Amino acid sequence: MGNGKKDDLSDVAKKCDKGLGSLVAEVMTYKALDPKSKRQAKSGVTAQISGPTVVPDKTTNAKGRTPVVSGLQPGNYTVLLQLPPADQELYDLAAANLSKDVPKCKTTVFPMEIPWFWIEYQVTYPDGKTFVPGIDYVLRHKKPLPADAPWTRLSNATTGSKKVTEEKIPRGRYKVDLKLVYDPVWGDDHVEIDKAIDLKATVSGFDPGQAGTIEILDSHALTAALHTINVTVTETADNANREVKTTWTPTKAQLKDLKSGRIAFRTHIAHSSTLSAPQPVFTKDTFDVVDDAGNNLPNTWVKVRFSGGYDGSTHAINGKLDVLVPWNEVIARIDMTDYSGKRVDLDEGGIAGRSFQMP
Amino acid sequence: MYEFENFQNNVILGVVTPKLQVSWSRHRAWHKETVRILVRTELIKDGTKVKLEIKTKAGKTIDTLDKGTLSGNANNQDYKIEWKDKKLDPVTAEVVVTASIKDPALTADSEPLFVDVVPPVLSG
Repeated sequence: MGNGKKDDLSDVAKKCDKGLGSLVAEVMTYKALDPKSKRQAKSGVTAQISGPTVVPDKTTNAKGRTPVVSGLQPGNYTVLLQLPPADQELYDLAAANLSKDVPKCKTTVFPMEIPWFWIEYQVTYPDGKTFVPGIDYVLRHKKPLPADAPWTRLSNATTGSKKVTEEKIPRGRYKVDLKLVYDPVWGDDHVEIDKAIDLKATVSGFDPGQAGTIEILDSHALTAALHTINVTVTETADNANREVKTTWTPTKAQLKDLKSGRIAFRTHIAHSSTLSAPQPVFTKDTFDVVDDAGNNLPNTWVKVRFSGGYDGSTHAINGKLDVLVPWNEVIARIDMTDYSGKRVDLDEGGIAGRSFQMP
Repeated sequence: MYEFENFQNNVILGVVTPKLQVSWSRHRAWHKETVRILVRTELIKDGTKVKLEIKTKAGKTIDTLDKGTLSGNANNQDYKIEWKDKKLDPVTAEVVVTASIKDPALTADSEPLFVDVVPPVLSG
């Protein structure tokens, strides 16, 4: 045990006076649980010595040693280490107490070790090997006691291309919160003009109240936002997660520059963003299904095919046909199988004079 | 949640899942038109190469583009539909683009682009 150097005990009394003994405490420190860790001398540690002879406290020097304490009545002595207040949370003091017999005419060494606490963290892809740089994160700490001790923020930083090691840190639990927004989810399988829809994304690392935006984009352009909604980070209802969520009611005016008929939303918070899957946009339209005299036709099945290929077939009920019309599309074809051989006139979207022969 | 924790004297292993998306700039196009292929990623570093494979719905490869690289988790590439020598269905080709990157290994398919390979013949 020790620093590998031969102990220099030249200051020990050369002769054995009155059958007394002496002791010296040697304090080393190292990275806890790391067998490869190089031992270092720990200075500034107070050694409280108790035993048959009362002696004042001693402090370790740059070599980690106390002065030799001589003139000790032989017997069992205990050395208890006390660290400066600033160091007390950073070292494991489980082995800071050592008892040994001090015989006469010898200097007994009390070798003691107080490992320091550390934490290491890394961020990789699922392969566990490839580091992912450039992600902002918060390092938080929670004291071991009391059990409901709060998490406190220790630092903010950005991930790099190697593992990070923090040494001589307080005991406790550590958490790396990556500042990311991800997993964007639509509240429905399509978007309908003038109908509210939920948009949300999961958040980590950002505190509640952090501002962000949700941009509505043409999914075939993904450049300028058609519409922007301000959002803030909130806790989920069960307080288990954080999210940004909004209920948006799209209007024709907001989507006036939409060309493709499909939109996506991109959520931004600080340096993180996430893009949703595309979603088709519809407007709900109601057609009167009437005979030449203007009377409602009985309930019937109407096959409706739109110019972009979308099949909007549905039942006409009580002379009304409620159809979801794809954005910027018109009806290309109507079939009413109950009226085989008849002609159907269609008045839609200001396009006059269209007529279909029923097969 | 991308929140990872452990006690002191341990290694916290954080793992993130990257994302790759690809789409056409159009839903439908004519032969010889130029369309844009939009690649979007999350948690992928700048400079990562992107390979684009344009395929029929049946899986026949029509073209491969491999010059693109990501910048700011995005890459746009213009593509001219010039398939005269490709021996495709003369009526309509439903094509998808498959984007792939090597590190991390990800692939993603676009929604189909409907290409009218020959101009329509209209009755007089």
